[in-house]
Amino acid sequence: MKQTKKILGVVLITALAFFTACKKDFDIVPVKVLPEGNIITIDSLRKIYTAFDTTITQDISVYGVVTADATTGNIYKELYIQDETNAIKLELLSSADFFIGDRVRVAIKGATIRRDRDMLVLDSLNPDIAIIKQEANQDLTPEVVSIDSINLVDVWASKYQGQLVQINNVEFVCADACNTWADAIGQRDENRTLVDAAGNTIIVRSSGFSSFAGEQLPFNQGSIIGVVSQYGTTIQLTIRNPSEFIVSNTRTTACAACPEFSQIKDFEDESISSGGWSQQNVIGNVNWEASDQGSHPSFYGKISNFISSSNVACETWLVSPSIDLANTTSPELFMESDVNYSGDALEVYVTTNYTGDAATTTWTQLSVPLDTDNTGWNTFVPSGAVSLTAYKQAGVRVAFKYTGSSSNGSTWEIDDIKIIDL
Amino acid sequence: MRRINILAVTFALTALSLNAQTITAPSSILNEDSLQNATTKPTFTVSLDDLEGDSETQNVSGLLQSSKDVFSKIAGYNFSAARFRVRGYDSENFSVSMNGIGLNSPEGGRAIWAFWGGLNDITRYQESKAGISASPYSFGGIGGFSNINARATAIRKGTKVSYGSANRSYRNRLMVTHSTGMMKNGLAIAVSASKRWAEEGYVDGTFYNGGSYFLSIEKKINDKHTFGFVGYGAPTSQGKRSISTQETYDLTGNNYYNSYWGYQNGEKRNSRVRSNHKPRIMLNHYFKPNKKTKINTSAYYSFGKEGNTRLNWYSAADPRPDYYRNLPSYYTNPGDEFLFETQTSLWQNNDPAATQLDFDQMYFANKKNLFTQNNVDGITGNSLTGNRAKYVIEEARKDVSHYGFNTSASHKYNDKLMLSGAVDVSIYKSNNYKLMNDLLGADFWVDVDQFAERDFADDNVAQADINNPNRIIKEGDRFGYDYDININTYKGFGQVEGTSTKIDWFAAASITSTSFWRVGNYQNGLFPENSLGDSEKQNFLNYGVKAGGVYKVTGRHLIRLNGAYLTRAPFSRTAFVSPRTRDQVVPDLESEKIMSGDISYIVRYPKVKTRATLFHTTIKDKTWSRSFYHDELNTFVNYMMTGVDQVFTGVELGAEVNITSTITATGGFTTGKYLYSSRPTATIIQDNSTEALAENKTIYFKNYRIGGIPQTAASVGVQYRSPKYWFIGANFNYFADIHLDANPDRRTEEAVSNYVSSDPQVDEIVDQVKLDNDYSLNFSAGKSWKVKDKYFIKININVNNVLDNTDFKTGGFEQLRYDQNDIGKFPAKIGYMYGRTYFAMVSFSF
Repeated sequence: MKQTKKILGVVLITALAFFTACKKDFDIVPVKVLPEGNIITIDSLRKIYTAFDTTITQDISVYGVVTADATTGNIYKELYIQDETNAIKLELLSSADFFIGDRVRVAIKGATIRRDRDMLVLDSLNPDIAIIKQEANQDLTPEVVSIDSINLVDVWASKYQGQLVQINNVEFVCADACNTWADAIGQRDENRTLVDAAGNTIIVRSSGFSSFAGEQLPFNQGSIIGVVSQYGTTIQLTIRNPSEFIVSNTRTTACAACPEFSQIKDFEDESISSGGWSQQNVIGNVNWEASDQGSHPSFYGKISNFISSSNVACETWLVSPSIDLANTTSPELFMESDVNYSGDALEVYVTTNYTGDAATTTWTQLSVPLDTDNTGWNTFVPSGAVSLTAYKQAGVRVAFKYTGSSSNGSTWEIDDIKIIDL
Repeated sequence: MRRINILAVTFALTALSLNAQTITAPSSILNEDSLQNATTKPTFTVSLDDLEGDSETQNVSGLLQSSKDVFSKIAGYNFSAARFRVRGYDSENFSVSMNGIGLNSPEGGRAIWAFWGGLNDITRYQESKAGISASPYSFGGIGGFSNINARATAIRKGTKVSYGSANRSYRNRLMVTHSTGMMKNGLAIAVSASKRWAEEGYVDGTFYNGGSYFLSIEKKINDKHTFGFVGYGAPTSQGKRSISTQETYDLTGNNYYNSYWGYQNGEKRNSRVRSNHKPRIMLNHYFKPNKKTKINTSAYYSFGKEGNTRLNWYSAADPRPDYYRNLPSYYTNPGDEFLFETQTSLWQNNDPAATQLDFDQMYFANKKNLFTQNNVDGITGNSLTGNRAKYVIEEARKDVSHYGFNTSASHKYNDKLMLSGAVDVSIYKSNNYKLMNDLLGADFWVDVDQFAERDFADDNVAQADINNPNRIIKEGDRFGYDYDININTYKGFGQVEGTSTKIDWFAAASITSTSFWRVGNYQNGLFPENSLGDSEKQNFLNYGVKAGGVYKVTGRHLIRLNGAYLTRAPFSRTAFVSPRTRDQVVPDLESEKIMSGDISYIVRYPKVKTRATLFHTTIKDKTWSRSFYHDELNTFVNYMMTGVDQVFTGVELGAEVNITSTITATGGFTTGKYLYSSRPTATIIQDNSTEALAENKTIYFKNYRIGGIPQTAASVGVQYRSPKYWFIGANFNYFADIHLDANPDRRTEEAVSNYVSSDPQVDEIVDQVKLDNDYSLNFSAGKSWKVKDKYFIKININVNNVLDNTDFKTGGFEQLRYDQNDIGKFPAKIGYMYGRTYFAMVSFSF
């Protein structure tokens, strides 16, 4: 046994030696090294622009944190990045998945620093190659500035150009206070003017394609966050999300109250019945539901009698809550609709004398221009204004009547039902 | 206290530990997958069932368990569930034969145990040796050999009936075996048959239906001549399981989530069914001209099919539930919160609408797709209108015809010297094609390539076979591709074995001529010049030498040394860049060079048996290929590397100690470094394009670990064997150094071309992931009774993973598809060891 132990010992020691000796490192893939001197600050990058557009030919990079992205659609194929020294707007060759708070490296070789109507931009960046995410959730805190300090003083570019700023105690001027951020229907950009207590103004320019274009501007006073952009000598604020306007006070400058929406139903809460709406099955048991399938950018109400591969006979009513139009001057109904598959048209009714039961109520049919193309899913068709001037009283209800038979039936989708006093 | 002492002893022993002879073979990981190509901003996907379809059917634990070596037995019973491979070798390095006739596939080199599955009563009669050793049958591989003795006289006389119950791939097994032994008329007959089945195995949606039959007849003519006949087959079909990403396991709360099945009319249906039936018959002649000489001659014929079904679709959405766009992780960007939540809740609720295939929907789509195909069969004006299939189930078939001849002789020159040799001729042909398995309610499928159809104006280009353009495919028709692989092999080997009081030794040499070629039966529209007819023949002449010796220090202490050097022709399966469409081979195709050596110290006392082995092996110039389905290109993509070198270095220790006459403790330990050791060259080809996706791409693969297997494994066990014919035992097993199989394409200059060394993406792309170490506990027990001195009743049960550890990641692979800008987009696919499983058997023999 002694011999055994001896030989065993030798074997174990050999084995050990063997393994220590062959601790192997992984192969190294050749990868470019970025020398320290080839990293510049954003401020240095901005200074590369002197009088002419300049294309960068050296292998240099800048690091920065994304301060505005394309999530709300207010900017598109663009990003703003910022470091401790300054900020710059990036123009991309394609849209890309970079988000606010991402710290990125931008390889700027081949890109051009261009003065676009006095806005300095880094142009022609291929985001797949030139922008490299380093880490996420590095969100910068906006610097609190006054409108005054953003504005131009004897220079072509705002001191804060491209930077993320917060302006406190501002409100939209009376002319804009009842507007939306932009023209969502016409998909046009709009300028809205903000004013501070001292009367300094700045434009908030928002895209008609942004997801918030159709939202109401905040009526009251508050703080706003955005990046500073410029169009010629006009300084503009580009917001990232309307939720970054935090209302803190009532207005300093009083203006007329906005005509209130008497009623609005946009289904964004994914509910059919919220806000006092109700549905009633006069025949069958086919119901409205909230949906966001397809390309429509938000939730809508939908009904179809095609259930388990066959049509089901039905008559279903969707009835609004009681609306008081007594104090209005020119109440108008607006809505959007889309139809597919053959079947009876959706019908829109109004009553001032609702019994609580759609079947027994006396309804007056409204002539509402609805979608007529039932050969496919197209975009939602806006109805335009449908006058409710004949019903300027309390207790008004509008309703939608869906009818399907056992042999056919359309699918109807409706959205943004509004009654506005114009 | 006594028990604690025993455990302590066991541990101490394992720490030292040893023993003799090993056997093995591995199951290679089922690869699927994908990669990317730097030039096109690429995306490759793969589906699990590439051409490696047979890999999962391999189960070599039976082979291991039959070995006499302690380490091999431990590995066979306890390590195979963790995808352990002895010495890290692929199974092509293990030679399996029956009556001396090789059973390894000429195409890929592996022996597929499924082809004789269920014949356990026969295959238990085998001789196995691990590593390099003398073998009377053939030169063999460096991993070892196993020869199943299927002679009727080798099978124990009597009748045995058994029933087994399990919860693994099958749930029930019935087996009947009868052997007459040598009868007075010189005839011996053995028959065996079995059935294994499960409506659903351990994994959801996996059914199992396997039969097997075996007949062996031996007729002794006189003392010199005996003739034998053996015929067997094992028709088996089985629903497969997927391997998926961690996300799908987390969402479903099921580490055995299977994406391959879905409901059809309320019943579970698996889209991936493997059906094999490859019967073999052989005639043997056993000739003993004198007492010193034996000459065995055999002729054999093997035929049959291997089939694997899968979904295919034309101009339709990807139906696979775990397609990356169907998972919540596709919706993690700001703004996608709603979709993320919707998908997450569908998955978390295990709503089959999200987590499984929807056959009803596929039927629905197929019945609504009225289409008029013009110029059917290339005849102008010949049109057909009907529902053109959007989704179908197709079957990839390999029909084999293999015959050969083998004669081996051994001659005892004197008491100290034995001479042996063999010649072997093998003529192999496989016919590979697709068969339309199920049109899922549609009327027809058109035999065109949709990618080619989209990208080329010339109609001909998209045709699978220009000689039958716009062919209408119905169920049962061949389509897509059709080619033969022919492989002719001629082998000769000679061996000398010597024995003396101090030294036993052997030396052997072999020479092999291999010739393989492709015969195309379709003229593919994209490759009209090199798809039809015979390809150039690829010829290789290979040789091998091996030698070994045992030095007997004393009768109880032995030192064994073995070495081998051999070359091996590349396998046809890896040689053709895209055999489905053309006859081109990988550039610079060359033979592998294998060098291997081991040294062992063996101790044999009646109560203590140990073995310690050091081994070192290099394999150079290997050709490596993976083929995978690319969902965006709608085709197979073939990733090939040449000049792949591998190194296998390690140690094996095994020990068995009889603590008392009834208690035995065993210990086994192995650790190694199984590495890639070169920078191979990659070629990437897609089936439906004349342009290579990449050529001459350097893979920085040195010292990357061979993934998907534990490189360290240890086991300690105790068994109590009662004199009253019962036993009980348990083993604790520990596994370490498991790495994910690395995607070669991520280790290229192109993959990191956008980055500089300080970018975090570089490490994410390049680093190889090591999985957690983990353990399992196995248990076994049995009892036997003798009734009236005539009948034996035996009950056996073994339970694997008694503690139901369902979090043990036994391996996985990086998808070949990847996005270099977002490496997390296509995460690795991971496989888990089964939780608690059992196999219980009662047998009755007389």
